Amino acid sequence: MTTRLRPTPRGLLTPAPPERLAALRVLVCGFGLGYLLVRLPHLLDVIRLAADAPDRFDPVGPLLLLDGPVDESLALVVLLATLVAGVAALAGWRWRATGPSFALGVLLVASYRNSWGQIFHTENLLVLHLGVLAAAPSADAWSLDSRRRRGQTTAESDGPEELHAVRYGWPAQLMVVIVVVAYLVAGWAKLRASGFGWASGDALRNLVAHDALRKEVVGGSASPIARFALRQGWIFAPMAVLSLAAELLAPVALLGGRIRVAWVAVAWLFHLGVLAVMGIMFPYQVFGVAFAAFVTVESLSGRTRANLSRWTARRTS
Amino acid sequence: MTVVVVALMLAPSVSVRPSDDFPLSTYPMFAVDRGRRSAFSTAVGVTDDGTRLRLSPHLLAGTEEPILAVRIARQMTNRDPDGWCLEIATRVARSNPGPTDDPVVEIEVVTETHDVIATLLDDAPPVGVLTHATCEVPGA
Repeated sequence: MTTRLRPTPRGLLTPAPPERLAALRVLVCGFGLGYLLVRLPHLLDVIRLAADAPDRFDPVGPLLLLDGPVDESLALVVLLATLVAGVAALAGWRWRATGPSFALGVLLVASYRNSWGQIFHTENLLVLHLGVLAAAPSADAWSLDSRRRRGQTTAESDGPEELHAVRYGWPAQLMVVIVVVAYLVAGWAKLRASGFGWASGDALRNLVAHDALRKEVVGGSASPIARFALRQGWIFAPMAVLSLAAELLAPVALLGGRIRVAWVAVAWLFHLGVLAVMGIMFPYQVFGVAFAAFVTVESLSGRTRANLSRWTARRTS
Repeated sequence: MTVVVVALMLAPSVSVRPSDDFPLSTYPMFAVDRGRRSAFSTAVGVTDDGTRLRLSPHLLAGTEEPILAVRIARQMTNRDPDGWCLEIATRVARSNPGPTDDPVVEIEVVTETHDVIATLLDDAPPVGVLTHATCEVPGA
């Protein structure tokens, strides 16, 4: 396996090694699990809203059929079961059951959190990516399942044709397509609502000010950079042009090669900008997990091993 | 499968009346130009000497998440400002008095209209305040 991180080739039916899906499983499930744990106090607050303010329930997505919030104890059971499934999915244990269970659990937990009058848009890609991984053979490497299979005498052996197979390639490429379409839809929403005038920067400046003030009037705090940025009014026009271009030109990432890496860099910087100026964190994007499928992410393992070996050699010499 | 996923993701945006949902979204959050003048629903605490204090997201909405508090403030101001006022007053009574603040004796549910740029850059006062409900804090 190469230790260089490269853009994945274009094409939906590109073969890939099983380690690519395994790496994506580890990153996405690990992120999902960590996210649920970090957000646990907030999720428990949301679960308590069922008793405190049931009339505020405004279901979205798969919860649309619900008349009202679910019982607190049921919500807690789903949350805990999702965490347990997440640990198993991360380890690649009984993936065919735990992968879909974790994906479904995160979908339900995130939908419930988004069902109180505010859709946050921070978990959309995570939920969609988990769905793709759950439907794919994402635990054929780097997993307890693969270790068990190797230990079984009757286990199906991976032939040479299995080393690089389309079935490991297309899910990763679908994850890329999902990201690209999401950004394209976001750009289209701006054009539809405001036209190309959005690129003048006025709309963005007003949005930043509106966002800062709406937080302050409810006792929250706006990004400390917001006021500074608002004083430099001129910066909003180039920021708006870059944002709109990053979203509308997202499909260029499907071309592969350096242009794919360049688009990922621009999209990542866009999220850093949103975090700095508006204090709005899209953690799945900021930590880079959303973009992992754009590169040969499995090579990170080789790089880590190589760095560790070098470090150990230096320490012992 | 790829075609199905892409079609599902595009469907909410290409419909005649696009509406946001989860996890298939139209991502409308930064799309609309809101202009410089915006109205915000909230509630303020009033002390004995008439000082108006901002209340925390937890006191307003029982959550530490400001964005959720913003949404709840808008919903409750429209639906039931008197009920929301009493709900906040009860939470404030439990936390009254704060370690440094004067005790809050009254809650006002209001809609403040601001020139958002002027307020943030020049501390300009709201251009309008509409009071929807007023209630006393129990035990204050």
